[in-house]
Order: sequence, then structure tokens, then C-alpha cells
Amino acid sequence: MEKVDEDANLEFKWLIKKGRGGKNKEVQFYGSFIYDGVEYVLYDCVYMYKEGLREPYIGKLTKIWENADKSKKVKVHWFFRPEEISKWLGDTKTLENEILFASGEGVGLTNISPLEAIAGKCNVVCVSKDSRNPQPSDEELKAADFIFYRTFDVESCTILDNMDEEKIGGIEIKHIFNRREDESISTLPETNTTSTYKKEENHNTITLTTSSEPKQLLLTKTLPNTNNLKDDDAQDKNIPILAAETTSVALLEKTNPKIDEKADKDAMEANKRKKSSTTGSDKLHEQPSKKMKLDDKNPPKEKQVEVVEVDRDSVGLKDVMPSKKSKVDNNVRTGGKNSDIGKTDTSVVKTDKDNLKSSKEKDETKVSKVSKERKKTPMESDKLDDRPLKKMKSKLVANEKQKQVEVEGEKIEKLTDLPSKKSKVEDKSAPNEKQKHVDVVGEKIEKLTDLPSKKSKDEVKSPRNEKPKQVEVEGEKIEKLTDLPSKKSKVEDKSAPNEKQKQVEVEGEKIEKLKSKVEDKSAPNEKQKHVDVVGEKIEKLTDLPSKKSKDEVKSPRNEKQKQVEVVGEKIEKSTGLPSKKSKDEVKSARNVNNLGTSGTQEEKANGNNNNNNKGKISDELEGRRLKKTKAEGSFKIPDNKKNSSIINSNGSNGKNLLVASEGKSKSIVVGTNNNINKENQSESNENKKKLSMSQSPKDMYKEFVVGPKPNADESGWFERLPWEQSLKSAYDQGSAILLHNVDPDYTSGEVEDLVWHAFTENCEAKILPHSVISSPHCYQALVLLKTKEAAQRVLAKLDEDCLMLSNGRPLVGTPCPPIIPRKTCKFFGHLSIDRIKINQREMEEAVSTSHFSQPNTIEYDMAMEWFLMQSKSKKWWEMIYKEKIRVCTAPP
Amino acid sequence: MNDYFDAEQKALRTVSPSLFRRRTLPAARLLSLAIPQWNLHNFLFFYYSQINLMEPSSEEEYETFIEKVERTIYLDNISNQVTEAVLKTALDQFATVKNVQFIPTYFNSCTIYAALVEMETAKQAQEIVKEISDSPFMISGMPRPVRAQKAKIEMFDDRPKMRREKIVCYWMDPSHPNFDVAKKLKNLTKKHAVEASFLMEKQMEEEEKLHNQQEVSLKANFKKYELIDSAQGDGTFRRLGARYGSSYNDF
Repeated sequence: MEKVDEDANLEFKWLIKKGRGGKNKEVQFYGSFIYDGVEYVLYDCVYMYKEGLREPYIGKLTKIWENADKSKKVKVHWFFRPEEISKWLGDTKTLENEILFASGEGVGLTNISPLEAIAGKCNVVCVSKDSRNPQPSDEELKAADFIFYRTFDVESCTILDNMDEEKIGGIEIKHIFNRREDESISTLPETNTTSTYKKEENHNTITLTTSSEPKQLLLTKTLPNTNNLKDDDAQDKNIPILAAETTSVALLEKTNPKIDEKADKDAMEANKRKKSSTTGSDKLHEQPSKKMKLDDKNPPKEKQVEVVEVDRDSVGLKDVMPSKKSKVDNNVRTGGKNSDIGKTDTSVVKTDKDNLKSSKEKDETKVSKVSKERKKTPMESDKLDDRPLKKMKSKLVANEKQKQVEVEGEKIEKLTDLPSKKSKVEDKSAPNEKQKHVDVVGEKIEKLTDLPSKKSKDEVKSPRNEKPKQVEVEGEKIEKLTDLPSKKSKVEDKSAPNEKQKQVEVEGEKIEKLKSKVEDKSAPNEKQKHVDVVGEKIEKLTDLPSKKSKDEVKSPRNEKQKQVEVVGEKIEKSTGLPSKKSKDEVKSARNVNNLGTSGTQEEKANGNNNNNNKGKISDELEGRRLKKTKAEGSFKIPDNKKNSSIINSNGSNGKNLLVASEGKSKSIVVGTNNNINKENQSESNENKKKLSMSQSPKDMYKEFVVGPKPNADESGWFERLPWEQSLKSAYDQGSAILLHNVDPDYTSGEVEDLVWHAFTENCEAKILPHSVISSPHCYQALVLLKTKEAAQRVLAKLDEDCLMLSNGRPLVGTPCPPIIPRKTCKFFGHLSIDRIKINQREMEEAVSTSHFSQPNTIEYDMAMEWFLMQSKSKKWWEMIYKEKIRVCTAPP
Repeated sequence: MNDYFDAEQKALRTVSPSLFRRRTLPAARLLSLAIPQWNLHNFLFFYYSQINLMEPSSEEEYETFIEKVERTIYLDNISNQVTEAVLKTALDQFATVKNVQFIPTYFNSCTIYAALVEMETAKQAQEIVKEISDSPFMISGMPRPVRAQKAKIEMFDDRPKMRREKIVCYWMDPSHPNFDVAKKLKNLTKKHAVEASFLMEKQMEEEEKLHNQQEVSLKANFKKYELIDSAQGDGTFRRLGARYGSSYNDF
């Protein structure tokens, strides 16, 4: 009975219910449960306890169910420890902590066990290089209890080095590899089946839409900061949700194109794309606003656009026009860049960098820019909706200036984070250049139109080809990007340059394509039309501010509308691929990358955090941008770095993949977003706080809080070896070190935490208890690391740098001095005469052998000598420690 | 019934302040023991911050631990052959031993083989320490007496968490002006560790010397007494007494 009670006392709760099965449907399957305070999910790796075994088995839960008689069962797919199959291993070398996954069919593959046999969770990481396997980060690897990349065939008793099959032992391969933190998009490209993609996309969209509401709140909150934006937002309160949806759609579309690179999908999604395209344009507008507001602003703009689209097609067209304007502006920029041809790539990069750099310093400028952008965006929206806003624009700036500003804003939007580009943009925006730009824009428009024309019009067939190429390029980029992010933080940093290069390349290609397209297109009348359109657009730009003739504007509108439609379609298509393409084809490469990555991030985040807030998404995007900016080399922006570092640190802390860290960063960003204006500051603050863990040089020297190390609970269930035993083995291995100057009130557990936080090493530590001769101000701790290399690394690090503890002392590490077994050391002072050896027996029988010696004995005299010796000893130890204190406290 | 509970609660309420006062005093004393070389300012800061950060649960845990420390005596200069049972029997003649815990020594400080013996009350512990310090007390061996003193917090390797909110550490920036100081401190620490182990060796040598010396003198004494004994046993005394005309009883 008692046992039953004990079991009952262990917390148990079913969580996710699944279907029923069995003969009479009496078996209830489950997807997860809580047992003894730990949540287990299907396909988790667990320790399985078996009586009499010192080390538990390791297995993967493949089925969880409850029988009719209420007995809880799990089906476990086994891992093999190398020692378990040493007979068949032969000369095969196994890594430390390596285990092998059972495969094939037969005895030993799986077992059905009572659920209560689960002894705890086991952190098993798959290090297979298989492309389908999300690669683990360093932190994850360090945190892993076991790793595996090979399987052991229980039929043939052979070791298989690869896991090519779709299924192993009846388990789908995706359940065997590491879990994607959240079914991230990044992983999607790897999967061939489009259906899954679609599903994921749908899922994403849903999440996005759900998340939209919070964003609205954010938007409303954020509105106060930006007056213009406020007005716009106020006008379009409903917009945010739509925008969010559109963004999600765009993301989905983007992912699709990336994945499939197929025109078919584009065609299929044409309708959606229209919306998305409009959204894309909105996004462009939004991006600037985002820049301004950081995260929250984006959704509103998008929402507005979306709303417009949703409400009326014509309106959508109108709306599109403004978006087109922005696009045109962007094109103009790109055109300018194109005119600079050779320089375009570098210039883009530079501009990006500048933007990045400027982001920090230019927070103020950003604000101004943001305001400009806001103005622009409102203007656009206004244009779409009402021209009064245009008036505002006209009032605000000269036409050219406005154009420039718009261009800048667009650029900024493109850059999203980089307001600094204004100057360059301005330079580019010079009148002459403008014309060129206009031409280029015209070309771009042509391209754009071509793209749409593919859908609806036959005019531009060539663009299609170009588009797919672009799409492909983007897809590749995205893949690269996604791959990069999946790697560690370092990878992220590295990825930034790669992305840059890729982007640059892509941009170059795009530019070339554009040029060629333009040339090709120039032949048809469309070019002229485009040019006209451009001219109109320009007029609009100028007109808008001046608002001279609405009619003129309108007339262009008609043309523009067509174009806009085309553009919208194109945008949709492009958005479908990378929604950002639509925004700025050339620059869009980056944007696309950003979007793609952000999309993946979002997906991941959604999967992980279930936080589907648009705000988060936008935050993620921004975060990414920040990262990119950082990566791009905007070293001047500490905030960005901090963010990245934070992310890294988060990842390391939680052992989570970058995805997880991204999620964190997102959340952080969200938090900051609420205080739009304060974002930078708050971010920096947060960054500073979290930087302690980060690896960047400056961050390294920040204070860090030593909390409980992760996974502490996991190791808890596992009975540790007796300390003496593990000390001995660690000493023999050379992985034991002695720490000096430990803070007196640290406990052994806290030392372990400290080692984890300072060196990211798991260890076993013990504070050395003081004896009378111990230095009263030097506390020591023995630390047993996992490997000799780790011990040497820690020692070197401690030697080179100064780890200051909370008691203000530097931690000192020395190799563990030789350990002398207790029984073998000599003890002086106990003399025996043959006759007295009788006592030996008494002692063994634990009979009291103690006595006070009487003053009239030789023994007493000798005892007095020992007393003298003890006093002397006490004295000299006191002396030496006194001297030490004097030395330590003496002024230098 | 209700009245009874009310009365009890009131009583509890009135008692609690004094409880608190009583509780903080030993903590202060023990903390001062734990960090004797801190200067007063640091100590006060530390002490008060500890008080402020106390959490009820950990505070209680710590309190019980400190009480345990209070009634524990530290014994050293004991032989490495001594077992827990031997210690228990040896000290049971003073008072009931609750628990015996050996302080592990891993390195060269074998001579400082020591144990923590927990008695039932702090008073008993104090008395035992006094007794053993006054006259040489042998446990499972002669003539080296054991040494006893009150236990200190840092002698326990299983001490509970200090009531501290967070441990904040940092890697010192090499450009920081105190970096060199920290480096020096590190070197000093290492030096001191070496010095301590050297002193330990010296002490071992001293002990060995004393041991050998005592062994020699013990042997000489033993030989002397053996001689006397044998002289008595084989009738030498009687014969000598008869020769010198004195009675055997004089010896």
C-alpha cells in the first residue's frame, strides 16, 4: 500500500490527448504528460530505470498510452551505449558520450514499459550531418548528456554511419533528428514536399493573424510618439489587423517561392499575391515606419494597405499607387545605383553599413527620418485615401526634397534599420541622377510590370524568366541565410558578411537583369509607358507635395493604377518569393533575406514560443535587421551588437538554438517596442545586462549573475558517484583543478554554477572544508571537469584573465595537488610497545581506547611535549596567515 | 476552542520579536568568524545585506545549521586509524554523541586528520572542549593527545546556502586599472598556497622528529623498566639486598 501511495504522490498528469486505439478503442493515446514534475512529450529522450542496473537505459518515447485498466505504458525506442554493444563495436571508435540509435527490426529495437519506469529526461542531441537534421549549437552540444549520429542495426548487429531512410524502426526521421525549435521556415527549404510547406505556411499565417491584435495595441500605444503616424493610424484603426494578415500572407508567399521557385505557385497565388503585393508595398512603407517606431509601426502601415486592398480593389489600386511610388522611389534609388553600375553593389553595401552605423548615432536622425518616413507613409496612405495628406507632404518639403526624402525613406525602409542612408540617397537623388533614376525606375517599373504582366499581361514575358531567376537567387540566399542562422551565433556573425556578399551578388545580378530587362523592355512601348508612368509618379511625388492638380495625379493614377496593378502583382509575386523584392528589387535582396530569415525566425518563434504576435514578428524582423546590421559591420552600433550578443547569450544560457535566442530577442524587442522612443535605450540596457554572457570583447567584462545552471534538475535525478571515487578518477584523468580564493559563502553547488557561467563547462565541485590549519581567508574548492582539455582551458583562462568574484577577489586555479589516500599517510605521535599492542584488537572492536593520561606517567610527559608541539604549530600557522593578510592588505 | 487558539496565537505573536532577536545574534557572531579578516565596514555591509536578503525558508535552514555548528566540536590530531565508532565511544563518556563527521583531507595535510563531533547541546560541547584542552586526552593511541576546539562554519562542506540574493561575478577588463592588482593578488594566492603546503611539510617534519625522539626515549624508558622488572623477577633484587644488608622491601 505504501508503495502505491508513493506512486500516487508523484505528480502525474496527462497533457495532450491523442486518438484512441486498440480492439475496443479502450486504449487512449497521449502526446505528452507530466510525471514527477517533468513534462514529457512524444519523442523525448528519457532515462529508463531498470532495477539492478547502475546506469539507466536511454530511449526515445515513441508512443504513450493508457490501457483500459489505467496502466500507463510507453513504447521506447532504445539507444545503445557503446559499452552495451562493445561486442559488435570492434575497433569502431566512439565519441565521448556517444550513443547509438537502434535501427532495423527485431529484439532490442523497442520495448513497452510501464510509464513509471521513466527515470528522467535525457538530453540527447543528434549531430548527424544530414541536411535534414537541424544542426545543434555549441551550447547545446555542451549541455547534451549524449550525442548520436549513427545507428545500430539490431538485426545484423552492425553500425550504420548514416540515416538515409525516411524512417528508422518505424519512426519518421524528423522525430529522430533534433527538434526544430519551431518548425522553422529555414528548415522548410530543405524539405522537398510542398504540401508540408503549405501547411506550415498556413500555420504561419494563422499565427500571424492571431498575433495581429496585440500589434494593434502596440500600434495604438506607439502612435502617440509619431504624430503623423498617429493620424494615419487613427484613421486606419482597422488596418493593423489586415496588415498583419497581409504580412503573414506575404511571408507565406515568400516562403513558397523560396521553396519551390516555381512560377506555378505564383500563378496559383496570384490573387493572394495581389493582396500580398499590396501588402508588400505597404510593407515598404511600413518598414520606414518601423524604422521609426522600430517594430510596431510596420504592421500598421501594412494593415492600412491591406485594409485598402481588402476593402476595394480600386482602392487597393490607389493604395498600390502610393506603394508604387515608394517602389518607384526605391527603383529610382536602385536606378541611381544602377547608373553607378559598378559601384552599385558596393554602394548598397556601404549604404547598408552606413545605415547600420547611423542607426545608433542616428536615433535622433532616425526619429527625424522616421518622421519623414511617417510623413511619406501617411502621404502615401493619404494619396491612396485622401489627398490632404499629400498636401501635408507638399507643405513639408520641396518636391525634390520630398522625393529625396521619399527615396531615402524607401531606402531606409529597405534598409529598414538604416536611416543613415539618407545622405547617400540624397546624393543619388541629385536631379540628373533623378532623371537617370527615373529611367531606371522606368525600367524597374517595366520589370515590375513585366512581372505582373506575366500573370495578367503578355507584354512582359521576359521578366518572368528574370523573376524566377531572382526568385531562385533569393531562394538560394534564403537557404543560405536559413542555413547560417541554424548555425551557432558565430555562424550568425559570419553569416552576416556572407549574406552581404550574397546580397551584393544578388543585387548585382538583379541590377544586370534589370538593365537587360529594361533594355528588352525598352523596345516595346511599355517602356515609354513606364517612363511616362514614372514621370507621372514623379509628378505625383512632386504633385503630391504640391497637390497642384489632383486630376493630373489622377490621370497618372489610371496609368499608374495599371502599372500599380502590375506592380502589385509583381510585388505579390515577389513578395510571394521574398516579399521584400517587391519593395526594392535590388535592395530587396537584403530585405528578402531579412524577410526570409525573419520569416523563419517568426516561424521558429511561433513554434517555440507560441507567441504569434505580429509585434513579435516585426520585432523579429527588426532583430534580424539589427543582427544583419551588426553582421554587416556596423560596429558603431553597440546596441545592435548588444542585441546579437544578447541573443547569443540567451542561446548559450538556455542551450537553445539560435532560434530560441531569436525568440528571446524578439520578446526583448517587443518589450522595447512598447516604449517606442525608449527602445534604443531600453534595448541597450537590456543588452548590457545580458551581455555578460556574450562573447564580444566588451561584453565579456560585464558583470554576470551566477544563477542556477541550466539542466541542473536533469542531472539531479542521477545518483552521482561517490565524491571520493569521482575525485580519484578525475585526478587520474587530469581533469581536477583546485580553485583558490573562492568566496567563503559559496556552496559547492554555487561553485558548479559559477564554473558553468564563467566557462560553460559542466563540472562537479566541492568546497574544501576548513581545518585548523587552513588559511582563514582563502577558501578552496575542488572542481572536477569532464575532460582534461576542459580543465586546461579553464586553468589557462583563469591564469590569463581575472575572474572577480562577489567577494572582490580574483579566482585562482591550480592543478589539483596529488591526492594521498587517507589510510596510507603516516601519523606521528602514537607509539607502541610490543606489550601494548593488545590494544589493536580492542580498537578494532571499537572498544573505548580513550583515556586521560595521569600526570605521574611517562605518557603524560610525552603528551605535554605534544601539547607544546601543537601550540607551536598553532602559532606558526597564525603567523603565516597574519603575514599573508599583511601582504594582501599592504598598499602596493 | 477558539479562545484557546486565539490565546496561542497571541502568545506566538508576543514571542516572535524576541525570537528574532535571539536568532540574529548567533548569526552575527558566526559570520564574524567566517570572515574574520574583513574590515569592519565590509563586514557590517555584508551583515546587514544578509539580514535584508534573508528569506524565511533559507533563513530557517541556516539557523538550524548554525545551531548545529554551535554544538559541534572539532577534533584533530587524531590518528587516521580512528573510526566513527571509536570516536563515539571515546566521547560518549562525556555526553551523548549525535553525529560524527570526518573532515576529508585529500592532499598532504594528513596529519590534520580531523573530525566534527556533534553533541546534543552547545553547553556539552563547550565543556568537552575545555576538558580535553586542560588535560591530555588520548584516543586510540599514545602519547599524542587529541586537540579539541569549537567548530566553525567553514569546517562544514555541506553548509547551506548563504542568504544571498545573487552571485555577481565578472571578468576583469585587462585595461582596468585594478587588473594588475588582481593579477598580483592571484600570484599572492598561489604563493600562499605553496607556502602553506611548505609549512605543512615542515610541521610534518617537526612531528616526525618529535615522534622519533619520543620513540627513542620511550624505548629507553621501556628498557629501563624491563630491566628493573627482570631484576625483580629473577631474584637479583633479593640477592643484592642480601649482599648489601638491606631489606628487599626498601626498593
